[in-house]
Amino acid sequence: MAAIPLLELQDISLSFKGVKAINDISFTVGQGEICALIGPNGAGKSSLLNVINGVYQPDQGVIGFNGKSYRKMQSHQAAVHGIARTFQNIALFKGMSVLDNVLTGRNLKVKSSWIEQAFNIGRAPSDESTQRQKAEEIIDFLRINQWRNSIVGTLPYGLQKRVELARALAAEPRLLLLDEPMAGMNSEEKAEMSSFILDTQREFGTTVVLIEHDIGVVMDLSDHVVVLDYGKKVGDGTPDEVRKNPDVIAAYLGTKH
Amino acid sequence: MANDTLPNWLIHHATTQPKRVALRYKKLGIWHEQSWQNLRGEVGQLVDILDGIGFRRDDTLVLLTHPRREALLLSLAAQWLGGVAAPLDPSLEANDVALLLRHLNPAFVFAEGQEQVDQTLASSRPDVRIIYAEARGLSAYPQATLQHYQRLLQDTPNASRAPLSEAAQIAFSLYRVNGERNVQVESFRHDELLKEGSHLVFAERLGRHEEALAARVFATSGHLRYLLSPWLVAGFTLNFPENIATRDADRRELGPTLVAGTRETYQRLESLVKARLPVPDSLAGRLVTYALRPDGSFLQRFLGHWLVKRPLRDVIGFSRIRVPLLIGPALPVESLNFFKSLGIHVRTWDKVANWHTLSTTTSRQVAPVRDAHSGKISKAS
Repeated sequence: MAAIPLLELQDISLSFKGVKAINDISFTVGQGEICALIGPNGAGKSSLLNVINGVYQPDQGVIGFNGKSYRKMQSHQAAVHGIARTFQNIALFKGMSVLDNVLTGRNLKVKSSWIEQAFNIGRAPSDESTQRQKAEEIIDFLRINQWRNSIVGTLPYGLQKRVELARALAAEPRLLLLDEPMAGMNSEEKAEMSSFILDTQREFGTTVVLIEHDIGVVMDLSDHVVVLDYGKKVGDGTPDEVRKNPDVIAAYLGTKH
Repeated sequence: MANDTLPNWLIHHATTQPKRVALRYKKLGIWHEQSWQNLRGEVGQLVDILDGIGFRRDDTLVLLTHPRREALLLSLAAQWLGGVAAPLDPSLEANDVALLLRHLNPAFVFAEGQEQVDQTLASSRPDVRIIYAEARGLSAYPQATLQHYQRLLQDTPNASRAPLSEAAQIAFSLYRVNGERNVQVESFRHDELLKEGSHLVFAERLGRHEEALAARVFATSGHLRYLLSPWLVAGFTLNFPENIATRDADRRELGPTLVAGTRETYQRLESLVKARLPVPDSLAGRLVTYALRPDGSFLQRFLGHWLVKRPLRDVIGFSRIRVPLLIGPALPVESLNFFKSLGIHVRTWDKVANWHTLSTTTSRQVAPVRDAHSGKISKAS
């Protein structure tokens, strides 16, 4: 595990109408690490991701991010601090082009005011070309140049997943949360997406927390694995350590779902 | 200075039309232009860079890349120093690329990105000097002989020295692996290439105003003879698409006047057009057939041109095409007729290839390029 932590969860608990979704979970994610959250359906993985980026407010616990502690993290605050995410079900603007979708990821980086933009004066022209340049760099990085002007809704599922990753990366995040980025993909698409995630970590130094059900992919891709079961943490360590952990085998790896 | 080598033609255009656009290339979705003067400046820097890493007269620079302007400029720089450019077709099977690299055992390589760098490192001498275009994935590579094209340019001041190349010297050598797994070479002298290029320029009346698309790497004799050489002789603009996957969209944006395509290129374009045509038995389909009839009345041809032919030509970026060249194997007659019905008269330009077999072994010691012309080789059967 990396020495400097970027994300530190301490005793996080979350319940919905009395049902405990997350129970006293603590773990640390180091800078530049790829951390996988695994566990059976209903284990609380997506809820935990939603706590990290402020969609849900935890009942108790503290979220530490980049050396600061937050009792509650608001969604907007998370984005400003450099946390971006993708969703289990694709949440793109389906009627817009790939480029326009990626540009929406640059929203927080825009420096010109709405008046400057409306009249294309002051900082607006240079701002626009800067945002376009950054969006194009991400489009090139994820090799989606040829679909730049295609309407997202017309693209195959695997490509839409890549566009969603592009939009998240356009925000230049320090922490990237990926909720099942390879769900519904064939093995070739999974390999491609895995290589993009690894490249993201290598080229931009981005820290990644991802949820994935394909154990083979998780073990190959991750530096660190956290295993959840019924809202509790049952394993935390390197892929090898987790693979040998009897609690994990009992809870997840040894059973069929 | 006589215009008898490729670098001399570059100098000629940099002097006579310095501000005119020599190259246009798309990067991150935006078209960029480079004038002849600017092109000469960058090639001058590359000459110093190659000289600095030990590239000398008669040395070979292997280019392992998809179409990129950097490869073209480095080719000219290598030739400037009296060397040879050897572009390898990146669409070759990995085994064939490895075999070719083992045969060539190159000392100088331009590699597009990580994949090509890995191929080179796996199959070349340990001290191979590699210049690469795309830095992605290469930051952790320990080899000191790996250098980034853009970074080298930034660190090298503008320079200008006289070209060392001569008309009778080899400018390009192409390599391939034949069916018997033998390596074959075909080499082109400066004067031969310029003669072929001049012939095309004269026959097709090519001028400075042409816009040509370089969608394929200069790794076939046809592209060297009928695209690269005419570009330098006529001094028109050569356009590079963003990448191989975007070439159709980029062609539509550009509307080139000169295209040098292979049979596969034209067949792909034909299928793109046909995908847009309505079902033949439908009303729209019958109208299209009616409009495309070559022996129709004036009104029929007028309507056919504006309502059918022109939009269909736009689909494949041929709205301004003047010189559609076919290089290599012929197109089927039906395809030729199909393009003719759209007002696109595809012309075949090709010359019999003259491949020489280098060796039947995979030894690392085999023949540098110049040995192919020293009489020690046998002609391919």
